[in-house]
Amino acid sequence: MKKIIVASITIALSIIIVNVINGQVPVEINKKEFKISKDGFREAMNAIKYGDNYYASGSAGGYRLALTQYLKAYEYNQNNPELNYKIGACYLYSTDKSKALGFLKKAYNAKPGVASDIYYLLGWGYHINCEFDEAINYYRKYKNETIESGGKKSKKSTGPIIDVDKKIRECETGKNLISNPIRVFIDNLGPAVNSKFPDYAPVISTDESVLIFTSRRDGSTGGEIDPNDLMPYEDLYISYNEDKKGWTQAINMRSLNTEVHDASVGLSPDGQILFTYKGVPDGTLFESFLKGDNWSKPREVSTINTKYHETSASISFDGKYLYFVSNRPKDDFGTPSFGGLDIFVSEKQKNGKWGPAKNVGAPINTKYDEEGVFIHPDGVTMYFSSKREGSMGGYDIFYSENDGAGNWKEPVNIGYPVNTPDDDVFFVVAGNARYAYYSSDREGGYGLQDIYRITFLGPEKLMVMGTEDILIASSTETIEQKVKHETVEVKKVRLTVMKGTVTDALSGQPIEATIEVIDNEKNELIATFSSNAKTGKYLVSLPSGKNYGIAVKADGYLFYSENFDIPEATGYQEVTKDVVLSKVGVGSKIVLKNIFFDFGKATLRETSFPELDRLVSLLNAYPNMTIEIGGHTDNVGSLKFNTDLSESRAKAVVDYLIDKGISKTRLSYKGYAYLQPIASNDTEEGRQQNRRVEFKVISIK
Amino acid sequence: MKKGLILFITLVSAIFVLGQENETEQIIIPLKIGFEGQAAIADTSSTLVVAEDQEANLAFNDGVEFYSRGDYQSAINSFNRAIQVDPDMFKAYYGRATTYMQLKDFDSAVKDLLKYQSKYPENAEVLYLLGYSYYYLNKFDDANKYLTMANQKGHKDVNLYYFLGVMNFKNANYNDAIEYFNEAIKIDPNHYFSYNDRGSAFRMIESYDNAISDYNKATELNPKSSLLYNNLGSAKRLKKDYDGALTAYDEALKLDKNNYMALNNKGIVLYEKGQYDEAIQTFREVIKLKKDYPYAYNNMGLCYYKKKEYDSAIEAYSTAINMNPDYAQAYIHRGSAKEMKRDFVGACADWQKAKELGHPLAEEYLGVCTEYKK
Repeated sequence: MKKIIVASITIALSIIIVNVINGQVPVEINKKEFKISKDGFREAMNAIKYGDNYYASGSAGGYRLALTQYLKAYEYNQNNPELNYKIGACYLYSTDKSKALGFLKKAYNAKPGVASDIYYLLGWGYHINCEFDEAINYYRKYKNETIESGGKKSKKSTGPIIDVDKKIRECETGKNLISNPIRVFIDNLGPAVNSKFPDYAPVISTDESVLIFTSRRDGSTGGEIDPNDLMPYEDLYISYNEDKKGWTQAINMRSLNTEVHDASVGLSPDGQILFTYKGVPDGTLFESFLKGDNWSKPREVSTINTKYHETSASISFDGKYLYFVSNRPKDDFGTPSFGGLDIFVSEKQKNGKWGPAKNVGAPINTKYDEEGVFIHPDGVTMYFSSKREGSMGGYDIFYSENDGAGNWKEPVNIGYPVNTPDDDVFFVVAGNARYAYYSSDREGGYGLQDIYRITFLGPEKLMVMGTEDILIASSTETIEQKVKHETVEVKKVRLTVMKGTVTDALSGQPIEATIEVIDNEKNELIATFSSNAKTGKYLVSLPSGKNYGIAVKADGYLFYSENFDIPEATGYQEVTKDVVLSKVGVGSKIVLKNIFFDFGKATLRETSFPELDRLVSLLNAYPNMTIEIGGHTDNVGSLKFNTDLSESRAKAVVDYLIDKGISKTRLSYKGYAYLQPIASNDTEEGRQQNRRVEFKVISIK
Repeated sequence: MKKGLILFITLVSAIFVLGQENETEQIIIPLKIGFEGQAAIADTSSTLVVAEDQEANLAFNDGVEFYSRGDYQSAINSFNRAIQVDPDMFKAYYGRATTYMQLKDFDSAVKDLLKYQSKYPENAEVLYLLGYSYYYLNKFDDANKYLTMANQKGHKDVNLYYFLGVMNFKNANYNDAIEYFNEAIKIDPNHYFSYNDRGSAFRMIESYDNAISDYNKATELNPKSSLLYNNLGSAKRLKKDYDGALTAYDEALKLDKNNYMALNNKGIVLYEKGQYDEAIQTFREVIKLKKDYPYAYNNMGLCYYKKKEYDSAIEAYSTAINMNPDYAQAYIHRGSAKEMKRDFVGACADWQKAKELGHPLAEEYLGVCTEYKK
């Protein structure tokens, strides 16, 4: 049993456990008062006995089990105040919280002193149902008459100490948020994904083609039932939506699942690295890599886990930073934590291991819990859940933007109806930031928690009534009311997602290639990705505002290079680029797209060096290979001029290679001017493609 | 120039004209003209044959007489005869011009005034009348030019200040306009045109309390004008005094049940108060008064949108767009209604159209449209 409780890691639920242990008030059902007739009395009392046992466990699962028993007794006697109170409490402490209020009201009306915390639970019940004024009323009563009166009015005991003022502030926030709802569509992902069991914690690839989530549906690995709540253990499930026509039937990720709880917490933007969570031994993060169509066996995320709880994790678009949640008391630099769960970040070291964890600090972390971190592939926006000030109840989803200098701005509540008075955790956002995924047990689903897709419609578009008045009494000329066009702040995602497949030029077979993304200006390797061995698919996130060089390399192949200039103002776009790699062989050639010359000259710019260095390594890898560098131009200008220019540019490349130690005898060069165009010279785009340097294999001994 | 022979005629006539069709009222500013007859022989009843050179003077005097009686067509005939006899009789051109002005034939008036002005370029009053005439010909640059010249020549007239105020208003110099209206009101504290227009200038600079106070004064001075009550209502509406606005619009409609602008405005107030059904009903009544009024359809669309009846909203916006294909804001609205129906492709097409029509926010709305461009 102990093991099982530890393993109960549904994070949303484990949170509740903490609440309950502090919160429970002893309430006994008086047998005599309960008896209304002989028929069924014994069965009802039995149900209460079992129910009380579960109730005493103080876990969410326990409350759920207690609830089924209590509801049996309720069939027998619907008016007993204590039973109504307990049913209400069970709902509040587990799922279906909104159902609690009716039972609690009934309990209170029949017997105002039914329990010392009845005001608090009533407040909570109203709060959950968004009846904020009533909620505040009961919270105040609890504060004034129960806590502060020292239980004088309630002879049994003083109610538990609860920060009622915080609850009241949450209600005030709730009133504000609900009167200014954000415009969203919230759509159930449908029966291919959702089941009548809890389905939650969705994670997606940034192009929304892959969805992995946690479910407690039948058929879980090992086939066992969690005796804690009589539901199947958590397993990971996966579904695809490649062609955007709908999600495929979710399938159990057998190779990752174990007979206990396995929960999804994070997926890299390209869908190749999955982070999972296990409650054993002490709240631990695992990672798994997609190789072909196989996920590697989950291994503990190196150097991140501690004896404390590590829960959610999210990796940055370049794979360099891992954001995660932990309740450790201080970070690896000795900075004490803010309290409860905090968000930490770790940078990848040269050796591939995660470096020391650093608390991301204020204003992200607070003395309250922060959970469910998600770092958007735009590189600057962090989404997370928190019970901080500014929440409308329980966990709310917030976002914060980084100013680029490493400072996080004051987090903003994402708003109602995404946030509710209940816990709202695990929120992931697609690359275009128009869509997000989360789980909710809202009405109209397939049962318990379901996974939903949110479409953000943004602020209301300007609405202007058409009106005119004759403002000048001496004319019939009408004057329209001038409208001030106030722009509202619209969050713009500045991100380009480049995706496609890498295949062999001859066979068309997918290739597992390495994709290097280089900041051309800084001559810096930004990130390394790989294409999937089985499908050849790759996905690269490129935040706007840089000139990127992209090099696709695979053993035995000539590399492919691409240049992307993405100005700062470029909004979200997806670029599909299928890459075809040629095997190293006589006659094979590649266009070197990341070689840059000064205008009209043969002077190599420094931004060309990474590409040239790739060429150097290729030549070093094939020491017997001889090559020709060919210079090509567009058709602007005379043949003579272009022949000279293309030849001197080819020579400049050869000179660089010689300078890097490649034998002169292996290198030749030629200027082709505009005689071998690869695109039309009629468009600027075509001319740009024609201005190029090519590399051709002459011989390999 | 003998004193006794000087004719000084002052005509004050406020004419309220209901325009063609069911257009809203136009109020012509009362024209106050004094003009002088120059040393004419007074003996108009004499049957003696007068000297040749008296012929023109006699005709002129007849013109003045007819003018003073309000028989403008006869006055024109007399002035014509005077000019026929003596084409250099400039005062006859002047007399005829003022008569044309009474007949609202401002084109002809301007020709005569320019003729007179070529002889007497320093005459401030003629400059003023030229400004006045050009104003009613909607030639505001010319109007402004002559009115400014008249002002520089020291012409003092309530209407001169008033028109200068109007000119500044039209050029969006609202504070200067207010200064001129102040001058006009100083000369004539009952000049309700100046109160109305000063109220409008205050409205434009969002000084709604001042606007309301001026419109109130204007309606006190002229309680029969629907237009003034409509303006009062609009100032109150902009101040979000919706009940006050409704009262004013109702008064405007009582005075002129065909004032579709006031009725449309009333619908807007009902919309602002969240009474969407009543607002829709009101816009339908507006359409009965003026059936091709795109604003009413647009506004009805907004009511349906608020009621989440997106199909009806789209239909109403489409009607507005059919009536005015350049109605950029209606495209924005229709796009929003389509968005709520998840017709993102349609929404983006509408926002694109709004962008082409120069709507300043359309570009921003198109930000989400990349995935719908196929």
